[in-house]
Amino acid sequence: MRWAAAALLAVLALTGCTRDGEAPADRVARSGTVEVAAEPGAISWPFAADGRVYRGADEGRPLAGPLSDALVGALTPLLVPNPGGDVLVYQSWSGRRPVLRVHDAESGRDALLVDGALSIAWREGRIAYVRALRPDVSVPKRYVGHVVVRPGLTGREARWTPSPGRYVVAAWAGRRLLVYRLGESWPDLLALDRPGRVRLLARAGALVAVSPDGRRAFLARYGASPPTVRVVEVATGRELERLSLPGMRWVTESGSWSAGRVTAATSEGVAVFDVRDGRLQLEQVLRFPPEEFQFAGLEPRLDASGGRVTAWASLAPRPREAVGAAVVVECDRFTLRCARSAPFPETPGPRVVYNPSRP
Amino acid sequence: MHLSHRVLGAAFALLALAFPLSASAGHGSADDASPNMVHLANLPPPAEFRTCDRGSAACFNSDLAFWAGGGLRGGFTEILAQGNYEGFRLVDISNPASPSTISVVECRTNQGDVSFYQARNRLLLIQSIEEPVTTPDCTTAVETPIVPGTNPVTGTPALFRQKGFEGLRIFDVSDPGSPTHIASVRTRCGSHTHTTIRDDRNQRAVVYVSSYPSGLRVTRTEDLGTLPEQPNCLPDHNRISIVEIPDAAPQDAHVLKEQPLDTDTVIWNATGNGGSQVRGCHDITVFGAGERKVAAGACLSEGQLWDVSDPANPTTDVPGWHTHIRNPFVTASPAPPFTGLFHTASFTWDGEIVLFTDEWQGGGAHGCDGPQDTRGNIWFYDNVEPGATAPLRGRYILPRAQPPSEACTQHNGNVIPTNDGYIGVSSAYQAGTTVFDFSDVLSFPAITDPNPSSVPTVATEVAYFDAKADPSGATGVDNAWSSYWHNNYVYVSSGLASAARPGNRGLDVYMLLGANGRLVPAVTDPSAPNVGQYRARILRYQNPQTQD
Repeated sequence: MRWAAAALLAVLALTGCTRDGEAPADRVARSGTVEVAAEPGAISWPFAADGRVYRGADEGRPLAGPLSDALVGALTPLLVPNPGGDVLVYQSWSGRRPVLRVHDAESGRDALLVDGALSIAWREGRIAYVRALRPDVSVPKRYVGHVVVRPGLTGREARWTPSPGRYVVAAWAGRRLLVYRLGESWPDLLALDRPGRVRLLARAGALVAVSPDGRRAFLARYGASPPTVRVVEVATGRELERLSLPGMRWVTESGSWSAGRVTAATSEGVAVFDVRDGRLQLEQVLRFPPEEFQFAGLEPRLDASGGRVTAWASLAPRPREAVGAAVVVECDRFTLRCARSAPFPETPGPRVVYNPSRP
Repeated sequence: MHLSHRVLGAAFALLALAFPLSASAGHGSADDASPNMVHLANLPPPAEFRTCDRGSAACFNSDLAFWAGGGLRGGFTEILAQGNYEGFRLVDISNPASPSTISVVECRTNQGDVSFYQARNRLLLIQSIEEPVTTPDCTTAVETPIVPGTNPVTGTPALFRQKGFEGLRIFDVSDPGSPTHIASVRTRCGSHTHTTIRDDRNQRAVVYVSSYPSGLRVTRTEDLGTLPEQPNCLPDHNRISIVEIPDAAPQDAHVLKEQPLDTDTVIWNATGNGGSQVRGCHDITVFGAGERKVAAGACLSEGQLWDVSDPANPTTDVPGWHTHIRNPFVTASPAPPFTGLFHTASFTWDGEIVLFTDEWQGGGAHGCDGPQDTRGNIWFYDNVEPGATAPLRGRYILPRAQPPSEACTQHNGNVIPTNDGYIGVSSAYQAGTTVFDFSDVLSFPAITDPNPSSVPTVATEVAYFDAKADPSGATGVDNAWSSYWHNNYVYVSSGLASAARPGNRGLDVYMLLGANGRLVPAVTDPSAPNVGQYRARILRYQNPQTQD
């Protein structure tokens, strides 16, 4: 019960209880290399690893199915909470097929939601995912299906895509759905306005974040050098702002938008952009010590206050050879100090729990 | 005056080498050790490996190989090779109590497991490179950068290591003081480990290359067409590479074939970046001399047995000629919390039992909780004819509970070549080195369907050494990567770095004490008159992955 309450608080933080545009306290956010605690400590943001969901100093609650990033990587969260934070839909694996499972933190009930399905977007009760034409995976690139939406954990599916493809659902943007279409090279980002209406939002488009009101999307372009980030209007695809980042090598997907800031994973660490009042400015870069981390700051979440960033990071190789180890780091972006979780195998986790769609 | 454990140990060793045992084994430092395991020597890492200037921050020491088969220039009689992420070094172990570095080769690897092979009058050293480096050449090779790209199998964007050279390097070390790089062999997904097999009939070495496409190791789509001479690392892999080294011309070493594993091999729970699946082997050990050979493949989610009597044609995928060994405590699928890893295999020298170590969660998770813990165990199976079902006899786990900050794992080890029971040696990272007696393993009933309540512990720890004396001092604490019995001593590679020793502990040498010539029961009074150095058969050479 205490866990559920804590999760609720976390999700309230996730949803951005402050209005978009509110600035964090007038503290100075400087770029720099963060100092990460040497010993594992409590991470307040919920995350999953080792078959459990953790938050704070708790011992974690077990998931009944294995967490799996198969076929989706880090394009989409593996665990998506409902607004109350007490129910999670997560990406799992069974036999030869990806499945979605639903976990009720309150009761501990953990059940199959959809067989032969992957990726999750959940907003205002509506759940979108990709349902495969054939549930078993034989050739991953030919694992095709339709984007479908259902009104809740129960209810009939409605097909939103006119033809099957290799889709990965990214997030809701208001009542529109943002979806990756995978191909031979970089994926394209599509906007699905309603069932059957699909348009290209960004070629080789990486969705960094959706604004809390769902009207804007913060995008990067895969493969661009130097990277460029843009804010676009989802309804029209119109570009509102653009910023080139010559000091970076890449900016990638799955950041966050909160408290008038966007966080993004980049080659240099976590970048924090000021997007208040139509601005698009690079405000801060949180760098991670290269002697400790192979790469760091993936899926960075900014809390509602705009003061704390939580992300996962791959540790520099250690004499633990078979798989890399990864941790969750939680950083105060003003003091540049971070807590770290215990180490876990690098794939498929640890992965932070978040909902890029917002409720 | 207080003499340290190590000083006493070394002095004792010298006495023991020169005279029948009569002295007391010193003990009483902060190291945690059994009285019958005496630390003889520590050889620090060379200066070249204290500065990681060719890749990531890791300069870890990795595996060991041993040579006492003659033919060395410079008057050396017995040497070992110690792999390192930045290359390797050769060490003179003719006096185990005083090992000395002969030469250091800086040549960026990534892990860098080693083996010896004698090709006519040349002694070769073979080394694994498991993630791409910029070039096969030693002078300039550095790790390639981590770059964004798309997974070639799933199409999903992720981070990958940029394509470069990976596979094997071969050195002529006939003159241990002056190793020469003579060949490089590019293999698919590099070489995490390798297994060198003599094929006398065809006057060649056959080398099995174990590799797998997890994490960064996948070749991204954007690199598939670049560097065409380097095979792409494509998930889910599910194969080994077989390399031939001709005795007459080792510089012409090449990939003989890529050997598929059985299609029923269990998929591993870890993925390649971008969400692709992984199958392959982590390590392979070959047992048997002459016409009859069997291999035990530690293939991530399962163990396998193959007939390798024709080493170029292992029966990995021949129906009825290979065995799958699955274990619910290790095999990852289908559900957590079973996230172990079949890491390394070894055989008893009579060929009755095959051992598999479990590097639980890839060595990336918290310590074992004590005797009841089924993670990080060593598992004992009947070494059946490949194709037959291999029953489980039981398991061994460290009896000493570990703190959460340590990894729960059994890593590299071997079985002592003796007819006097079954005794194994294993490394356990920060828990140091453990020596265990499993002589009674065959008296336990065969288990064909293991479940949590029915797998007995069938071995007892009879000696151990866990160096803890100076966690921040000049030597560092244990982090045993490889612990092997070789010609009457236990050699241990690696250790955690300390401020004064950024390249880790380096190499440690230990001696075991026995009573009346037997290791069991453990010696409790090293000064007792019947106590002496425990000894076993002497081997001309030892690549721990090849028991011939």
